[in-house]
Amino acid sequence: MTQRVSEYLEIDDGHTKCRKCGHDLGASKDNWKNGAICREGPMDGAGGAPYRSADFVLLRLFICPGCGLQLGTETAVKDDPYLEDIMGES
Amino acid sequence: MDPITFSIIRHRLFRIIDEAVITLKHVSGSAITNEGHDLMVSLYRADGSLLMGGVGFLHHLTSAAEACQSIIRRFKGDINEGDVYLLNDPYTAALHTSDIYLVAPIHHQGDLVAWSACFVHVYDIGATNPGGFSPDSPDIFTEGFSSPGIRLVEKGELRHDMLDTLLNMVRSPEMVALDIRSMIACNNVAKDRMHRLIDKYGHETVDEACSTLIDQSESLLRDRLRELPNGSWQSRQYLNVKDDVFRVVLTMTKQDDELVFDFTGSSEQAQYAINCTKWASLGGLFAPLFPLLCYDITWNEGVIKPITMIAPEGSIVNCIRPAPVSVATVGAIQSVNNAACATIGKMLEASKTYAKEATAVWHANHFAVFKFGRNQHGGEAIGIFTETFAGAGGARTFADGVDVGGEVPNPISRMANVESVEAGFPIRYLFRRRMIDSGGAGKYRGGAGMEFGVVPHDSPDGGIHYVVSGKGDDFPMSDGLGGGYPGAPNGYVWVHNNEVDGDESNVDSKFAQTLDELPGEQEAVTWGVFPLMGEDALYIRWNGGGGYGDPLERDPQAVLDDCLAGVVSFDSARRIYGVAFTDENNAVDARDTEALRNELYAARLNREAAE
Repeated sequence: MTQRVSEYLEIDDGHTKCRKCGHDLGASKDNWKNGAICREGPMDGAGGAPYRSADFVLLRLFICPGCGLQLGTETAVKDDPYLEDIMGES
Repeated sequence: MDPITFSIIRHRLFRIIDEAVITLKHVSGSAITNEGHDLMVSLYRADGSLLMGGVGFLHHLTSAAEACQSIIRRFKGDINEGDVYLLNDPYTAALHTSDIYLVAPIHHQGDLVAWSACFVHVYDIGATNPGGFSPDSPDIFTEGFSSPGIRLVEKGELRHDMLDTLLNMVRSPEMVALDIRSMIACNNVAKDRMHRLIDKYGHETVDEACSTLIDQSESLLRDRLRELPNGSWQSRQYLNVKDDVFRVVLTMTKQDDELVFDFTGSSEQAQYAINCTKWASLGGLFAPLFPLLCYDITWNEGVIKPITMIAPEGSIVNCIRPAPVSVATVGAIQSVNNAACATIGKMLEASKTYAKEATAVWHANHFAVFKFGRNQHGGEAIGIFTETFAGAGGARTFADGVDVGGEVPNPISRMANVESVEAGFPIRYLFRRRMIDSGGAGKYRGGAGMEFGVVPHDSPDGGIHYVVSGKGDDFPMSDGLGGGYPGAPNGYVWVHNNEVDGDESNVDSKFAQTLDELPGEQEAVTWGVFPLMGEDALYIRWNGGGGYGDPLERDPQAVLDDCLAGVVSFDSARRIYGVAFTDENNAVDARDTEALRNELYAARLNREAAE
């Protein structure tokens, strides 16, 4: 039985997987973002002209390595850890 | 009890609050109250616990409960029929000094049976800077009049000595007096309608209905929590003042029928007035929780019981006196709002049943810009740009966010008409419109924020000044959900044009329609007091809501519609949404769009696009 995490992610057999391509992003007790591609870059212009931010403000895009789907985003200062969303027993 | 009677009493309680809110708005003369709806009215039980939360800024519902309980402790044995108490000390219960609570006991046949409480952001509170948000205040002592509780009305008689003492310490005392009287009137209406309710149904019946209502809310919320998946979700909000960056970090854990909001890891309290006290943080997390998890549950003490908050002492979300807090409502409190909205959104999205209730973060960065000075009528005018209350909706899992769609913590927030502002202040609006590319990109786009520009106009002093505070303009704060982009950051620009001579002077600025058409040097301003004098101009844009889902999954026709409406640029349409158009930019080119999206997917994976 699968447990929905989001529209793009689910937990199946103890692993977090992409719902579009089935790519395994790691054990569900761990942060799925560690199994994704993280594209990290300056916020400046990232979303259009009003995204005019200082150099130290980064936009992280978490991409499914299997299909390229954008699974999540974060605003971050360099070296701040990834945010963790961990589903428990339900 | 009889379910019909219960239902009638429940709805009467709602209506009592509605009527009290109308009174507040009609009596107060402040735009922030009657235009921006920076207000709150709620009812409390005899012990001060929340009975019926009203609309307005929802982070006040629990703080005003603490205000009632604090008054009960302070005046134990001496609380009389007809009394009204004033409390605005943030270290006792209030959010910041300018949000004054007036709480009034409601008696029936000599017994204390309930409380009504309300607040407005008063016209001024006597802090270092006009208007209440005081970036130049280094501590609570310089944030104006502050009381842990005084009896303002005694057995129905206004204590003029108390009121005059307050009015003696503030700017524009006549306007502050009106604010205070609006709250007295509001409490009087609430009390009168409660009396009528009790007279009709009897105290025992009403009391039983209130008790049942609280039990019902607790039971309904616990049932809902049990339906949601267990887990923990994190959010991090950044605040920046000058060159300093602060963090509000939240880990929300849901287990069975309880929720824990843990702010461990948040920054230590700041030297700036963006801090908030623990009561404010508690209110801050409940403000989104009420509408997002309890949209069909009465907001009362029952909703509070399953919730626990951990806020480390000495941190930005639980500061220690005398740390300054005047900017709290647009500082750490709003960051708590945003963080809680983000984690609740992720939890809801993880549920098949409740995914449709999930939302990206709405308007996450209030711009508290207070203009002040002598107006065209010769009076002293102080007032916030109420545009900050217009907000922007976060995208949902099934629809775009609403453009200029308000905010989660205040379901009735709104902005004043341009004409209302120009009637009271010596300024003129050059333009006010939706801000292009401000809504976070996504399968469903975040609602757009706005931009506007103003110049001095018909001022006896050549212009006015304004106070800027808040959380800065570097960070986007309306987080996206499920792969959506965050909404764009705010921007505040002082356009200096007084130095430009002759033909290059500001003639054109009187008709400027964009920031770039305003002649002069542009300077970002985020903290302090600045002039809007002579040929100066002020430009402000505010954040859009967060987007939901991958932008490459957005319906291309919706992207074209956004472009034609001026909400998304053609550049963003191509670069972020991967949509190509025909040569005339009036139709989607389906084949090129497919190719472009394949390219963008491949680029994400760092490989050539499939042929």
